[in-house]
Amino acid sequence: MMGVLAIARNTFREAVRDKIFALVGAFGVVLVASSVVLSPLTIGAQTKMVADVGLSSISIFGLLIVLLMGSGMVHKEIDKRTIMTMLSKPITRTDYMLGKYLGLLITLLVIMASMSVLFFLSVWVTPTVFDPAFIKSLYTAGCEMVVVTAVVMLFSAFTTPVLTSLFTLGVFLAGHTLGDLQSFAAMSGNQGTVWAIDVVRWILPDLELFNIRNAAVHGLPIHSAHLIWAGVYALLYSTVCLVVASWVFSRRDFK
Amino acid sequence: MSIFRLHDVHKSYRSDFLRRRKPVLQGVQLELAEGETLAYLGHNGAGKTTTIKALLGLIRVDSGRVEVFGHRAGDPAALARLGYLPENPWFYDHLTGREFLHLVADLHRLPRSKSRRRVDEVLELVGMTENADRRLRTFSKGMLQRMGLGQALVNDPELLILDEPMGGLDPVGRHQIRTLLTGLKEQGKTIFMSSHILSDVESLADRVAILDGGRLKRVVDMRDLEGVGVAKAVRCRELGPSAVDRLRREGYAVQIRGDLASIAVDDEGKLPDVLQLIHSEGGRLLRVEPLRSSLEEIFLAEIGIRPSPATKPEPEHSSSIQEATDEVVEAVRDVQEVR
Ligand SMILES: Nc1ncnc2c1ncn2[C@@H]1O[C@H](COP(=O)(O)OP(=O)(O)OP(=O)(O)O)[C@@H](O)[C@H]1O
Ligand SMILES: [Mg+2]
Repeated sequence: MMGVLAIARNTFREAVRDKIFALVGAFGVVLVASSVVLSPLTIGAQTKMVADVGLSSISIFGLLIVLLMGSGMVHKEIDKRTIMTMLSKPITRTDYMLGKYLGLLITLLVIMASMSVLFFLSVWVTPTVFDPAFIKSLYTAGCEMVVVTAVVMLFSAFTTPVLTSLFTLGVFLAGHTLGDLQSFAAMSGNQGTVWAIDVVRWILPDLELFNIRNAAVHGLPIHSAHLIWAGVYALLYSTVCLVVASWVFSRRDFK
Repeated sequence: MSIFRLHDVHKSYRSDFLRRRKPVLQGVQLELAEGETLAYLGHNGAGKTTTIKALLGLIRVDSGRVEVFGHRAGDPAALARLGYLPENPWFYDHLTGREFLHLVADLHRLPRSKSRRRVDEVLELVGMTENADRRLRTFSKGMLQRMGLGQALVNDPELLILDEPMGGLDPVGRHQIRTLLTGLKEQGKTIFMSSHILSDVESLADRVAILDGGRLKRVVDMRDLEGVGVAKAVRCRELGPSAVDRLRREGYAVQIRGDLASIAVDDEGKLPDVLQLIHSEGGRLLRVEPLRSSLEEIFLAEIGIRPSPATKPEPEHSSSIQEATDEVVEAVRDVQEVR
């Protein structure tokens, strides 16, 4: 466990020193710009838009960081051969992958938390009314990142950074749209398509589960059972990804 | 007790385009005893690094057994007791030397109270105390090499696996590392090091394993090499031109530099004749020294290169013996070219 934490800490430190946190600044610019652009709107519309833009950007920035940082993380160590030194220390390859995962996740959550603070500030200075549902929406966005980060680890265990980014992006988009696709397929009445989408849905994460932004912005009810299930689902799905990732990684040769 | 054991180890790599497998290790069989220093010699591409990676579990072998401290290669229980210096080491750019060693100490589960002292000790040992707080990004190759040795020593390992420990070092650095390794050897550490630098190997190793094309050609016990006859270089002064002529007529390569003469004698049996001649012609004998070391002769013979009497086949040499004879060898080669 100490080994896992040491690797996580090192990964976090690398992110800090590579100035990944500058992205929080970029997020701030987006927030300010959006409230300027939206200011001509009527009060009611503006408040909803500020909340929507803020919450969506936090998710998008989160995804961006996972792709930027996560896709090349393992590959870089192999490329620069730092991995030879790391794996010659008394840790298992599973420890290594877990450490990298935790490091990435902690970095991500710290950045998302900082962005959330900026977001709450923007809610406070604009006429937007603070709704506790915003926090619930941020929580599920965090759960989503737990899953997406694990997906990145899975791909980066065996493929290149570019492919890892593409595959992860693919999983992200499919995870958000497969539900809709399935409804379409059901309406079209083609049984084969329905089954195919069923299978894919069963493998890919159901990321729409984490999307409660609309409900939060429009003040619709959000059940706590849903929130609990989102957390459990995130833990289960990411565990499976990490088990597979470390199994694949353990079988690799580092020539 | 044996520290590690390679039993009939085979490994091949797939060449990317042809999808054919290229054999890299072909039945390597090697055992290392406690407290022993074993040097692993072989030319570029012989499979030294591959063997070392198999010992660490960084690669899986195709067949055969690899055991380290009685464990499967790569088992954390084995890794905890060894230190590994990779070839051309490169470490995290974003860390300072000291931070990096602390990371290594954490990976070895050293408690904080101990690790601070140990890191300071190691920095001192490899002569990096002054540069400890600089980013690794700014380190020169030689500094990285020392850091590499340092990170291998953090856990005070019983076994050191060093892939070309003298690589990238200047003569001073090489000397320091050699001294350091001698000290570790005296402390009873077991050392397995790959190298192409025969002179470093000669001064440190108890045994030398010679690898060629993935096969172990020979394991030489260095004690058996004492007093084995090899080609000699005779250096003297004030040798008259007639004497030089006579030597050359008899087939010796002679190089003159000022009043200094160097004579290459490839047959030890002829040495008394040459010395007699120098004496009778009024030359002043300076010294007689080996032209090549005996290890070098064995090494070249094993990998199938027949040493000619006066050429210097290993370009990377720089032993004390070798440095001294370099001049002679160079001189002799010049003479041959003139002819
Ligand atoms: N990643 C790789 N993919 C394919 N072949 C490889 C790879 N790494 C090494 N080889 C091949 O394996 C053989 C042995 O390489 P190895 O690195 O073990 O040699 P070495 O004895 O350490 O050489 P050197 O003295 O140059 O370090 C070489 O022929 C090399 O071409
Ligand atoms: Mg090598």
